[in-house]
Order: sequence, then C-alpha cells, then structure tokens
Amino acid sequence: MNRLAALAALLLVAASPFQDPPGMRRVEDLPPRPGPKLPEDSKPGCCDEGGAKPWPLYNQGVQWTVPLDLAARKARESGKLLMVFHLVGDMSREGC
Amino acid sequence: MRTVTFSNAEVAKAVNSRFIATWVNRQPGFHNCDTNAEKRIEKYDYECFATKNFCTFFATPDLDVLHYGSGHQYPPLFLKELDFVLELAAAVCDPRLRYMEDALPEFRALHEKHAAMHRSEEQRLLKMKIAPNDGSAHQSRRDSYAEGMRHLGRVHHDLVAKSGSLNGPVPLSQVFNSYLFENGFEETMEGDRNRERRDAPGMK
Repeated sequence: MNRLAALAALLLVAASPFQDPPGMRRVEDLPPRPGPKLPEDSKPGCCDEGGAKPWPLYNQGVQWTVPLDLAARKARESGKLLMVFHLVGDMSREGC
Repeated sequence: MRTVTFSNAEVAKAVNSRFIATWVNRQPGFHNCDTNAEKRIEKYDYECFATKNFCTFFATPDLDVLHYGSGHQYPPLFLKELDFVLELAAAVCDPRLRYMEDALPEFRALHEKHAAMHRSEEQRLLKMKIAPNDGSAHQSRRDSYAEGMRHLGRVHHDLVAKSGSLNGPVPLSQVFNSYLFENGFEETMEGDRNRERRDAPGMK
C-alpha cells in the first residue's frame, strides 16, 4: 500500500508543470560575462540568414533584363544593342 | 559601376534608350560583405578603375562584341564609350544590327582611331603635375585614370587583332572569360577559380 502511494505521488509530480526551485537564477539574471562585445556603432549586417540584402544605392535607373538569352531576343526584337555587365554578385544585392 | 555609373540619370537614359541591359553573375553563391571598394570609389571619386573584378560588354543581338571595358568608368567617360559603340554599330551593322560581312575595315579603322585618342589622353594625364599639397590620393586618382585609358586602348587593339584573325566579328564567348584588365583586383579569392568554366546561358 505504501508502495502504491509513493508511485502515485511520483506520477503526480511528474505530470505537474516544471517549476524552478525557489531562488534559482535564470540566464537573464546573471551578471554580464567578461569578453568581447559588439562595438556600439556596429550597423546591421549586409546579410540576412546568409543571403545578401538589397542595397538601395545599387542599380538606380538602368532597366535590366535577365537572363542573357532573353535580353538578346529582346534586343533583336526591339532593334537595340546589348550591354552585358559581367560581375560577381547580383545586381541589386549588397556587398559582392 | 552599380553604385555610381548605373545610378546616374544621364547614363540610365542613354542605356535604356539604345541598349537592352543584362547582367551575368559569374560566380553565383559567392558573397562577401566587404563594401570597401564602393566606399573607396565614393571617397576618391575615381574616374577609372580598370579592375578584373567586373566588365561591361557591348554586343550585337547576335552576341558579336563591339567593345568592352573592365572595371569602373565614371559617367562622363562611360557616356563617351556608349557614343563610340553607337558610332561603331552604325558603321559595321546592318539596319537589323547584324554585323555586316564586309565591315572589318570600318571596325578596324574606328577602333584604331579611338585607341589613338585613349593613348593621347593617357599621355596627357601622365604629364600632369601633382601639386605637393594635393597628396597621394590625387596622384592615385590620376594614375588610375591613365591606367583606364591604357586599358581601353589595349581593348581596341585586341578586338582589331581578334577580328582580323577571325576575318569577322568577335563572338562574346571569345572574350567573356578572358577579357583584358589593368589591375588584378577581384573580390573573389584565389584568382576566381570558376571563371574558366562558366559560360552565360545562350552564349554561342
């Protein structure tokens, strides 16, 4: 009977929501750790989850047609020449 | 080019009215967050920076090259190069902008004429005296401009030589991965290992 009572108490505790013991400190409560910090004036990076973010200073004004074969077809149809900009990166993205 | 020249209203108007502009990323997936080159161009206001890093080609719709220039050219210079391309196209292309079979003499003559103009401009720049209080930034800017003139002159001569050996127009594929440049600056590391194997889709 005692064993059954102990098991029931154990099951009751296991089923209840987890609570920190009284007085336990959380990570947020800890004092700051010594070590390198980001400089105060650091700006947001040019990347977002590994991908380059758009940069509004790039690519103002010129209308672009991609890919090259579509541009060539459009040039033929419209009687225009082709300008091909060969670069590392995407036209509208920051960095390289 | 993206930051300064292609963002210039006069350049945009000239390009949009006479050209279909396209871009090719020769190394998709490569990225760095270094904007030092852009900041340097903005700070020193270089007229030219004939770097290997990027290149602008001008071609017929059949992808025959008329002209090209590597690196940065500031708007007034780039507008002159656009004028040259239009002058050349009027001389060597038919009304449908196809390179004419007998156009080699005109192609050669116009390229050589403009090579001489660039050479003369290079000499003029190199003779410019830099005042002691103008500092090294001024000299660097002057030298970079002269380097850009030398580059354009070399491109003119190279295209003449190539078209002579082909006895016709130079396909874009012949220079797309082996274009001339004056300084080897590239944002990619280790000499751009993928450059030899990437062709743009649709290229002959």
